[in-house]
Amino acid sequence: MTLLTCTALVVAAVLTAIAGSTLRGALHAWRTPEAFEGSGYPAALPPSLSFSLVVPCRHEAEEVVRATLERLLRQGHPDVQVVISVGHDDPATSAVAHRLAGEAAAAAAVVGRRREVLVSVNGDLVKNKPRQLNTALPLCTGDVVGVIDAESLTHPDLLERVDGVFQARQADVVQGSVHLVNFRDTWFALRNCLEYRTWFRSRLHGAAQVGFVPLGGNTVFTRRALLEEVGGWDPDCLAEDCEIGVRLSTMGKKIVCVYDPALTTREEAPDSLRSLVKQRTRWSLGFMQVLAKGEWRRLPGLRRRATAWWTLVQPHAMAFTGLVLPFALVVALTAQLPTAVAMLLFVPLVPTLLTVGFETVILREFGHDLGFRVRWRDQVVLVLTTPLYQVVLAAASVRALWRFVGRDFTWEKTRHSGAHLGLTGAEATAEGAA
Amino acid sequence: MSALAPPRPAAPPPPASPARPPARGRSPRGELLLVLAALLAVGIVHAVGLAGWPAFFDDEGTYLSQAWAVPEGALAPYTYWYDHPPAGWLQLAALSWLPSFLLPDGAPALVAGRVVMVGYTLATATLLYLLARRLRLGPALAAAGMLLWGLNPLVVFEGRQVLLDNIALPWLVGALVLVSGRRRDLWHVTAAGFCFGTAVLTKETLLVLAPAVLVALWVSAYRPTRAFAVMGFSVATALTGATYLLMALLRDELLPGPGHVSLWDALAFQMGRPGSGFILAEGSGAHGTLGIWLHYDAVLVVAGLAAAVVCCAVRRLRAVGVGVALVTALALRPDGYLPFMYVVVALPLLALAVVGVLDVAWKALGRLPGGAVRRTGLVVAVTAAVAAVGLVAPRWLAATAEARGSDANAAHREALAYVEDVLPRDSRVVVDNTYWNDLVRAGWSDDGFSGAIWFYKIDLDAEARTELPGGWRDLDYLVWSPTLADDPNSLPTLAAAHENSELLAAFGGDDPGQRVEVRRVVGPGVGPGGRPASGEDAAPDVPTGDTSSTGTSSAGSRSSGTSTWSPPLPPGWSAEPSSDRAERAAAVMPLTPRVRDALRDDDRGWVPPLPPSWSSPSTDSSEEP
Repeated sequence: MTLLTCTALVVAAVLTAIAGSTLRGALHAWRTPEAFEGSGYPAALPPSLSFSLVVPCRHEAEEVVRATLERLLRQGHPDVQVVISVGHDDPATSAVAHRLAGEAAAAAAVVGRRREVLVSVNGDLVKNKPRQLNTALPLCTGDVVGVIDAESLTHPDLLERVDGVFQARQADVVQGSVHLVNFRDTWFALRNCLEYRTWFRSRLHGAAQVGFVPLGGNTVFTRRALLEEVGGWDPDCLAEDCEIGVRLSTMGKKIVCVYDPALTTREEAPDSLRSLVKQRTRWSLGFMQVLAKGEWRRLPGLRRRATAWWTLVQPHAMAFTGLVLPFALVVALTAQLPTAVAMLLFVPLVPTLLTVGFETVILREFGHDLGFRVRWRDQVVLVLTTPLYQVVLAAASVRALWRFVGRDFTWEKTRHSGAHLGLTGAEATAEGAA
Repeated sequence: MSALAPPRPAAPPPPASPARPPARGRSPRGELLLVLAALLAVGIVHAVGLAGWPAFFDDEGTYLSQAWAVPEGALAPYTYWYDHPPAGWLQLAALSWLPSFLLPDGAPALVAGRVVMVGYTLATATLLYLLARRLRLGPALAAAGMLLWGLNPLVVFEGRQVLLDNIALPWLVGALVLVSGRRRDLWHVTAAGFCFGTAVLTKETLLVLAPAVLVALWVSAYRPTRAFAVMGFSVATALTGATYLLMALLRDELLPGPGHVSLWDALAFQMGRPGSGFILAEGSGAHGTLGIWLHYDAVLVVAGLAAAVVCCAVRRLRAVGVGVALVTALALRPDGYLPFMYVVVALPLLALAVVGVLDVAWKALGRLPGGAVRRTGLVVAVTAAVAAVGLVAPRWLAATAEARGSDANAAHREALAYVEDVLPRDSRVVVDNTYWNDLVRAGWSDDGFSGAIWFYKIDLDAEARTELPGGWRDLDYLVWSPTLADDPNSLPTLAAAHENSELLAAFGGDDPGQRVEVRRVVGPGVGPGGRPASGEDAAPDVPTGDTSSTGTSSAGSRSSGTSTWSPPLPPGWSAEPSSDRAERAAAVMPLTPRVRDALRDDDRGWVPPLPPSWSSPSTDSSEEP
């Protein structure tokens, strides 16, 4: 009896702590008016920096890359260099890149601003995103190097405003926001969109406030000199964006995260459960690599180290919660426990259900900010698929653990179908790097 | 938005947190002293004389007996049947250490319970002050609001009693404080949801105030994140409330079924309860209740109602106005059920409404064009304030003097002492719940049916059928208090026991509102053979040379069932009323039959509904001659 009570108490406390701290982190930006207002861009300033934008591509459909590039060339900023990065084993994408670069060179003359489009070809045997980025880096000439994923739609004012952030805040790194927008395609796309929303609108800003920023891999801008100083990206890390964020955080560099609904880069969620699980496995595995690498231990201050540790462990912890909580509830309902002990086992449901409630509001705000009409049906899908999505995340987590034990760090690609383009819904079969 | 946003702190390293509202300019120490002084006054008025006034009330004992059962792993000494959610007496159980610090050993249980109530009152008063401050009232008016509530005779009358409403109050006011915070922190608002949920789990009727708390939240929330605040509050409230359903589910008592009570049955019963008439209809029970409230203090009720109308029109005070309106609307149902403690939840809101309107008026005065007009306004305001205090103060002083000096529980105390001194510990004594805890502590069995027995349960608990197979003949003694004498429910076993009983001693005179009789059940039949006869145990306790003419003979044997058995009376006890005590008690409140009917509870009327599958145990005994 006492042993039972103690076990229930421990299980309930651990699950509640995990779910509670996840919820707390997720809601950072909505917690107080100061936090809510504190994540915006500073007022626009006249451009003073030059930009180099690296677009890593792999097995991309032409229309996807074309849409991305067109948006980049339409930037209002006067000084933009675009480096399309491809692999030597991917001739189709390579051809697309060269064709688009030629077209852009012709158009740039008309516009009359500095518009340079280069193609960088990575020849490594091992193919992944950080290696393509590292190959492209020497070609970059701008003061600031930005990474823009192949399937990203950027706002024309983005670079000008990011330029302003560098100036106004004396930033070393600026992380813009990225949203997935094809939320009505599948139930997991909806949940995936919500995750991005929560990450870029809120959680990231909370991490930035503590002083530990696991950077994102898209719409992230770094001073070129700094990138060269740290030797670019870790060529073997599956979460190279997070990894470099940890290193820059450790160095005490100033990382600024900004959010503005209009300036948010839009991309697409994976179009199948399979690729979602692959993407998630890669992230989990990448986070584990970062954790194992141990750079985060050099962060100053216990609070920052704790935050770093928790940020890196949290995906696994949540997956664990998703597995254990239903089990605990079944035990509480079926095993003839004393009422008080059984009720104790329900306590982790409190942060969990609070999270579900808040998620409906986040989805509503997401629709409002990005100009989508979120219907009741979407809300119902969101709520009902909560346990299902937990299963997906748990599967990815287990898969990542499995591969980590087997030292299997190959890069699993995410398909880009172009669903975010809102064009034809073309079934592009190409697979991309990010 | 982005262009207007203030520079946000960048990382790393994190600079000082973003700008907070500036600290208040006033001296915090002065404000603290003000609050402490006001709390001291409230504490003294509520604490001094709490054992003597108001008269002990059956429900107080019920909650305390249920709190007493909690450490034993139960929610009540008898079958818990979902009459109220248990949060109130769980708190009482958790706080049972408090009175033991302050009271001598052996203090009556109800006195200990009332000491805890003083703690609750002080908590509510403190939170009321904080709430007033958060509604942007100055310290003086906020303290005035606290005193208007805390020193109010009606609040003293209701607040001293161990009532669930009093326990729920700090949770309600606390929720309002948390949703009105200046930081507008989402987690404070969510915590408010847990507080409000706890308030509802303490006294379910507080649910009616949910819209008022939501209005307070809406008014103070930061508009862009308001939806988050509403969601956090609502989900937290719902989850807290859901624990009640969960508990019932885990106990297999959510839905009706054969052989057990259920939450569903209890709800159905509550919904179907007979009303107490229209509050404004002369002669209705509800009107009598209103009469009690106005008897103790009409000022706060009437002025507060008027002020609440104004509050509805003032944004920052709207929640207060809406809260009063909701409570009033519920009271004005044509045939609602209106117990006397219903007003408890309204009183802090009424007090806030009054001082809130004064604050509005004062600030309006400050905006008047200068010179003569403002001076005239000031003179009028000060005159009005002095006149108001002058009118109210004498009444309140008289009322608090009553509260301090009355002894409405003398008969109770004497009867209890008699029972403890004279009756054998292994006898079955039927009492109202104001005696139950004390008898159990004095050594009577706590199992519900073989020692101290709550009178209700001999007729209305299914267990009685097996525990008391002989019906009334299994009972030994009755403590026949007004609660038993006046009970509106026909309880056949109890009535039969009374018919077949003889008077041992009486306390409190002939006034039926005071008189407590200790009676011995005698009858044609014989009690269960194995039970020791009560009189034999009682005999050694019988003092000699007592003053009563009836108390001299030695105790007869229980089994003889003879009517010649005479009750032993210890010295100093008289079966006759002490006339000045009766007068004192009557002076406390005019207990006309109508008022007494209205005072008669609440919760004793909440008869547990017996599922159809149960035959009432009382039917057996009622067939007896």
